[in-house]
Order: sequence, then structure tokens, then C-alpha cells
Amino acid sequence: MEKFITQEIGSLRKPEYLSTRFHKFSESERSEKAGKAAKEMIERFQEAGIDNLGIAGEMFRWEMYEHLAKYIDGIKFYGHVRSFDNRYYLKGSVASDLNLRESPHSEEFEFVLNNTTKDVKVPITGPYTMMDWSFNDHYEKRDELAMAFARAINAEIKNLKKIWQRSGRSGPLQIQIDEPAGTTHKNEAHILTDSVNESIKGISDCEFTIHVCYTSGYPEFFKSVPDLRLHGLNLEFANRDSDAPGVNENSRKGYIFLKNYIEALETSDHKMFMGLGVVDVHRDFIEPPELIRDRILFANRIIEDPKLLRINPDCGLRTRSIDTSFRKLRNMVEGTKLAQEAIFR
Amino acid sequence: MKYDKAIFGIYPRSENLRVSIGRHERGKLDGSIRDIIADEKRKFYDFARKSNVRIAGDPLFNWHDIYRPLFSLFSGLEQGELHRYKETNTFYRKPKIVGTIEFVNDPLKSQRDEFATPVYLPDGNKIENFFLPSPKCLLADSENVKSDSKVNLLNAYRDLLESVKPKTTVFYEHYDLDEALLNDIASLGDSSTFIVVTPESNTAGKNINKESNFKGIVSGNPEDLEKNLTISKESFIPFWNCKKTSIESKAQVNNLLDRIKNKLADSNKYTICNTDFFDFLPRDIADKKIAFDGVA
Repeated sequence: MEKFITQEIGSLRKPEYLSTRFHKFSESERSEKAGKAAKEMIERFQEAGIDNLGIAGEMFRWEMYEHLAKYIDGIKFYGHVRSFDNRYYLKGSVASDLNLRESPHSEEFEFVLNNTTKDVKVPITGPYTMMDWSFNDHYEKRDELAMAFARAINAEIKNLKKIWQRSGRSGPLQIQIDEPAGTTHKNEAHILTDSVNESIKGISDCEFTIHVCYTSGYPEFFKSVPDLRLHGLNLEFANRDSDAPGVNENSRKGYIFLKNYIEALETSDHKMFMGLGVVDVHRDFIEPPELIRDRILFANRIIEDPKLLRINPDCGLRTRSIDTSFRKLRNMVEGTKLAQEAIFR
Repeated sequence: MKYDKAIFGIYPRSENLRVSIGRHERGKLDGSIRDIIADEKRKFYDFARKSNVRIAGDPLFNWHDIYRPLFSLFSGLEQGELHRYKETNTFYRKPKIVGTIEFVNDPLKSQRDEFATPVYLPDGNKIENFFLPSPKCLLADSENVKSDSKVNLLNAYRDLLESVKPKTTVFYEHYDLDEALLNDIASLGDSSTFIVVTPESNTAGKNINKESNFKGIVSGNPEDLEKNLTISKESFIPFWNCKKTSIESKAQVNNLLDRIKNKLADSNKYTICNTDFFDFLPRDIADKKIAFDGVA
């Protein structure tokens, strides 16, 4: 029987032995503890039955912006700024031309490749988000800064590709460009498109996806999708859906945006798969397998081609406890099996 | 030419305060968060004084975002989901209107929760510079706005100000400034004690055509700046860019001044201030900007 691919999206909560001392460890201690945590996550992903375990929950990274920015020359750090409430992030200030100093993801990627035979996918924070989340004290225009980040990311993907080729694994290297800020400025879709395309320019034999979440701008975003030279989109939907069972529009209101996606691609030959967010990462509610099944069945009715569907959580599950995260992921796998039986029987 | 300095809105928390609040939230703080906030406020005012700041607004160290403390002052207004603040990477809790908005909780009498009062006065200080989000942006950012919401909110603001009696009130509006908004704010009390701050107004120059009695109208929009200078009693010039970490230069002030000097209410006196909340910057950078003393 044919099946849907289930995949992880990003970060999981770090075990306390790693999180509480992450910045206090020496480099070698941090690598050792991050490796220990990554192994634990790999084991739990495998137990849950996830097909593609991402990069094992991003145990080697503290935060998606800071992790990449710290490896790029031209960025200075002056301190933390507020994200919300009393939550802060280290925001960089672009003070001179950007240049990737060394690879931010190689150690993590090699470790994960050496510790699982399952499929993996490397998330990399995208150029638009890096631009939007930085202070720009150097480049004249926002698009210039986004393109500078894109060139740094392009260099990093080439680093990862060498590791992939050395590993002898079959199939394409999977790279997920994370763009949570990708739709925050209504008039800048062209900057998102150009900079994402620049990030992957000239790199073959890879499968490129983009991850966007928590936006009110899906309809606008979908209009620019045909111009993105990508293979798929991994998006958040469950957060905007109801918990009621059923495959009608009333129950599945979170997935109605898929119609905009289909419309946007109507005249395009470039078909991309849709990584469908079926698990809400902002609540402890454990979605029953039947609810996940219904979400997939409803989406499949709109997409009309099950080969274009993959199944994932809305986003990284780092805001949930590890136990809650894996209970959600186990149900995601079970719900996917139920949907497969209904669709492929 | 003489100049003064003014600071409006939420000022960034220090590393010490940020970490202390985090520990307080997890129940792991040794000591009192009230004492730590009080100490941080004292240090802020000391620093402002040393930096020759004439109007130092409350740094609002206990405000998690620009609406949060209002939920405890007014009935009919509750805390909603997290929403992105304009096009930034900063989020606020969306106000949710769940009934008639009324002023019900005098902040001067209730100081129990440090994070739920707009005027946390640990030393029993008098309120000098009070801060409020403008009624216009509060309603624009709220869920479930009804036809009577505006009238009720204005009444609640009026009652609040009557109770608090601040020397000066800063109203912060992050959408467009227009005459209807100024009329609404003027109706809340003595507008000669009111300063209206708008970081990114697009319409001020077009929509405001009369003299006003406001103490100050501050617009971060350069095109509106000249217009605003002519219609308020004092001249506030948005100068410190809160979206950039570079420290402003003497040449930048002089260029700005050359452009607008004929429009100043008193050609020998003007006050430079921030374009938006300093909270968008790291604390060290905000402090360096304030300490700037490069005007000829």
C-alpha cells in the first residue's frame, strides 16, 4: 500500500541537563551533551514511527536566529530584545558586509547522520527571516541585506552537501528553509522569493522546502509560491483548525486556505508537495488519531493528489514537554495510518 | 541653541531585571521582585538625570506589553492571544472586549500585582509622566469591538485620569494620527498636559489643520514633523532611532535642525526624543543613545 511520509519540522524542548547549562558548557562539553540529547530524541522519533526525523530536534542549537547569526562575520551582538512578555532573543546588528565564517550546522548534521539510518532534513533559518530579525546598520535597502544573508546560506548548503555526499546516502539532501517572518511585510513577497531562490542557486540534487507558520498572509504567500524554485512547503494549519471531528468545511476551517494554494498553482507546471501541519504545537491537547485522519482526508479532497501530501506538526514542538511532544507525534503517525487506509485501500 | 531630552514609552529591561523576572515567574527568585523593580527604576531615573533628560517617562519595567496593565484597571477588557506588533518580531496580548468597558480598579490603591498596574510606585512617588496607549490603537488592536466600545473606553480613560491626576500624560498611538483622535484625547482632560506620540503616522500633515493646546505632538514620520511642530506648545523632535543600533551623530542632529529651525514653537528651545519605544533595542544601545550629547 502507498503511504504518506511523516516528518518532523524543527526543534524539541531540550532536556534540562542540556538547557540549563547550554551557554555555560565548554564547546566540547556542549557537543557531548547535545549529542547525548540528540541520540535520545532519535530513539524516541524511531519509537514513534516518524519517517523523517529532521535534525533530531535541534539539540545543537539554542535558538534559530542566534545559531546562524553567530557564524556570520559582519554581525555584532549588543544584547537581547523582547519577543513577548519576559521572553527575549539575542538580536544581531549588521555592521558590515556579511560572510559565512564557518559552518553552523556541519557538526550537528554529521552527528545525526552517524546515529540514524532514517531520513533526515536540515532546517536552516531563511534569508528573509534573518534580514527581518536583524538590525540593519549597513546595507542601504532591506532586499540587499536579505540577498547578503542568502549568499551566506548558499555557502552553508554547499557545506552540508559535501557532508551528504561523503556519507554515501542515497537520494537528495533535504533542506528546509525556515521563514517564520516570510509573510510579515505585505509588500515584500518579492524579497522573500528572490532571497530564498538565491539561497539555493546553483545547488543540484537537493530537495528544498520552505516552512512558514502563524501568518495571516497565506493567500498572499501562495501567490508567490510558483516563483519559488522549491520542491515543497511545510506549513502550519492545525493551530487555526477546530478540534471537532469531520471532513466538512465547518470542522476543518483551518485547512480551507489550501484552496488558495491550489488556485495559485492552477496555471503552473511546477507542482510542489504540501507538508500538512496536523498537530498544534501551542497546546498540550493530544490530538486523537481520528482528528488527524480527518484533517488529512479533508486536505486530500482539496489537493486531489495524495502524492503531493506529507504529514507533520505545525512547527517545532519546543514549547511542549518532551513527553507531550512524543504523545502528539505518536498520534500523528497513527492518524496518518488511518488516513492511508481510507485513501489508498 | 538649547535643547532638552525626553524619553517616552517602554524602556528595555536590564539583564539583571530580565533574569530576575524570569526567576520570579518560576518561583525561584531570592528576594522581592518589587524591590528589584524599584531599584531598577531608581537607577534609570539617576541615569536619565545624569544624561540631562528633562522628561523621563516611567520606564514601564513592569509592563509586558503596551496593553497588559489595562486589563486589571478596566472591566470588560481581557487578555487575548499573542499577536505580532505591527511588522516587528515583538508580540503583545490582543485585548478582547467581553463586556462594558469601565474603570473599576484605582491603580493608586491597588499595587498588589507588580505586573498588573500601569503605575507601579514602590516608593510612594507621585505620578509625573503617566503613559497610556491611545484609545484609537487600543480599539484597533482589540477583538470584538462594539458600537459603544469607543464611548465606554473614553469614559474609562477619563475616570482613570481623574483618579491618577498625573502631571503629564503621554498617549502612544502606533497607527495614524488624525484630528478625530486628537479631539478624542483632548476630551479626556487638560490637553496642555498631554503629549501624543506617533512613531509612524502617515496622515498627520494632511489631517491636522488647526492649532492645538497639546503640550506636544510627536510624529516619527519626517514628512509630518514640520507640520506637528507648528501645532503644539512645545517642540519635540523624534531623533533617536529605536530600530537601529547605530548611535546618532552630531551631524545628524544639526542637519535635522537646519531643516526645521524656522518651525520651532520657541526657536531657542526644542526637545529631542525617541522615534518609538526604546524597548526595540538592547539596553546598552538605548543607554548609549540617551547619553549622547553631541548637539552644538
